[in-house]
Amino acid sequence: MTCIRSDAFSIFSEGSENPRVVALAGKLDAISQAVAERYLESVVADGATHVVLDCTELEFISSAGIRALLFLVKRVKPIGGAVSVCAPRPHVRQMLEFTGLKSILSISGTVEEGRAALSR
Amino acid sequence: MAVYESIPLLLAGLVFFFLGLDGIKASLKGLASRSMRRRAHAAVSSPLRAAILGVTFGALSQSATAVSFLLAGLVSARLLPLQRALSVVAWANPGTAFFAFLAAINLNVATMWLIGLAGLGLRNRKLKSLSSALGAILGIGFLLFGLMQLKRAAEPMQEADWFATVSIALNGSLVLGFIAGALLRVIIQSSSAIVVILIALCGKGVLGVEQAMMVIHGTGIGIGLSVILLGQGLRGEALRISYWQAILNACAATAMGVWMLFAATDLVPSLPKLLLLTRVSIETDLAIGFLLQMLCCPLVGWLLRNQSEQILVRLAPEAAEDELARPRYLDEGALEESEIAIDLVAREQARVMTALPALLDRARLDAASASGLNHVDVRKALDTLDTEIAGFLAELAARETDHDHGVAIASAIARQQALIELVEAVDSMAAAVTRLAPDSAARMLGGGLVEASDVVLGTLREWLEQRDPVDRALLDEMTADRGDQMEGVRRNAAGAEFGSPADQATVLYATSMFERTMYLARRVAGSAPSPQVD
Repeated sequence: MTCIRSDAFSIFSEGSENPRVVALAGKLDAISQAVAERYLESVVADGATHVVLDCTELEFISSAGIRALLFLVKRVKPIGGAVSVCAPRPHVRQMLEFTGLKSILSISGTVEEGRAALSR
Repeated sequence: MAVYESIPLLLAGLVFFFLGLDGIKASLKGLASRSMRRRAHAAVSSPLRAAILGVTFGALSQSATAVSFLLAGLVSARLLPLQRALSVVAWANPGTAFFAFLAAINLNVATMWLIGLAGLGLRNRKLKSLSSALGAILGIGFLLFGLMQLKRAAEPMQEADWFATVSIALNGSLVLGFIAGALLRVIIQSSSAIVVILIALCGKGVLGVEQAMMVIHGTGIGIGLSVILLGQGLRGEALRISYWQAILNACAATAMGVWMLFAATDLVPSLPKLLLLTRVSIETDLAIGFLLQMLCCPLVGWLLRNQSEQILVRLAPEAAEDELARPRYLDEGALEESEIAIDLVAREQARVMTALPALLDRARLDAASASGLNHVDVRKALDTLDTEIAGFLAELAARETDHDHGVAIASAIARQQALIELVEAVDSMAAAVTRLAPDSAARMLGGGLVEASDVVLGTLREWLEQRDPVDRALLDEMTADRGDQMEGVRRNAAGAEFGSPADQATVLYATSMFERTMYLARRVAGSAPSPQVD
């Protein structure tokens, strides 16, 4: 898959295995929401049903960013898929907790743990 | 009266005028029940009734400006439909001309009666049920009192030597007279008062009848300028009323002024020459000239009747907040069919949900998500719309006899109540978060609560609109009990490193409002009608 990069946000993934690891970096907000959604749509179209979101480099997420993640959840849930968020920074973790999505977007410490959680 | 006395009088007059204007608008909103609206609509149900009401308003208030703003208040409170209000405004102008004939009417005394009785009535607890009506009357009293002070402030001018000099200069040019009329009307704020002054000047032989008539015609432009200047704070339909009054008077004044100019070339007879045939007195001639001009206003209104809406929408486009406040789906006719009515209520409630996140804009961490709407205006609009929906549901419930429909109506009422409380909780949370010190840990935390609320509200809106079971499942997760989670946040916030005691207290309040938002969102989602099964 290609990498999409803008001034404040980038998103990319490698390989085509399932679960697919997608790395997010920078700010996922109202400005980058559409870019993220388009990319995640293409990931699902590429056959991924289980997606591990590597948030190690994700500095900020707003409600618009969370909506992009929910967009992915709503794509993969009906086809039996799931989404895991890995290594979120404190702000991102807090946002996921406040939104009440901790159980829907299972949160893991590392990408490997995320992969393992989705493979179970 | 010296100039230093006129200026404070001018300022006080303006203050009373605006106090009256605000009072009328606020009180009329309190009166805007569905039954009152029906009565007001009935009062203007035909063009003839609208004309009678307009002439009466004009005659009683003796001020085209005052009538414009009174009508603007009625339209803002949705007591009158705009189209009918435009007719009332047009016909109010001839009404104001009565004063020129009946100079004996003492509007000052009537204004004092209005203020005195309405003010004392408001202080009487036994008359609490009439407080909105009394508030509106007091507002009219203040508005008229303000206009009186503006007139009083202009009185010294009439005695000044330079005024007599200007009057003499006016005899040399009809156009100058027209311009002077416009300026005088802006300063003196009463066309009738100007007519009275002109009668005096004509009587002294200072001014010719033609010139005096031209000054009267110029007042039409002055009315338009006054209404536009004083209506700067208005918007939407209320502003359209102001513009309509300005257009009518400007067109009427121009038509009469052009006639006078043509008459000066002897191509057509002038109005004073025509009146010579039946002349009773100079006073009557000038009064008739004024009345004819005022009668041109409804005529112009009639000529522009098909273009009025288009012109006014262009001049005063509707603000998004005003559009939001006006029910889009609720219709009196739908009250006859409960199922349709309940469906329309659900659509209207979805509009509330769509607009609700705008209340969070001021407290967001992500400014790019903001709607660009003013949160105060959005809140007012949502309150108005909520009141409309609640009133519609109450009437629907009172009419319904079928059990199943009754249950559905009760559910819609419960959802409406939850929505009203949700608006309050969301607004309170956003207001609390904005009080937190910028860039502080407390502000980041508060902003996080706001952003999370936005996600929940967005998902709730999608659920109400699309009924996707995935949205419902997400909502169930998102709106699960947050008691323990928020308790943990409060414990952390109580730490000394978290900010000032004021910030800590505000965070505690914001978390309470966040919990309440989640609880109410769950209630709204739970009371939504079941999805249709094909």
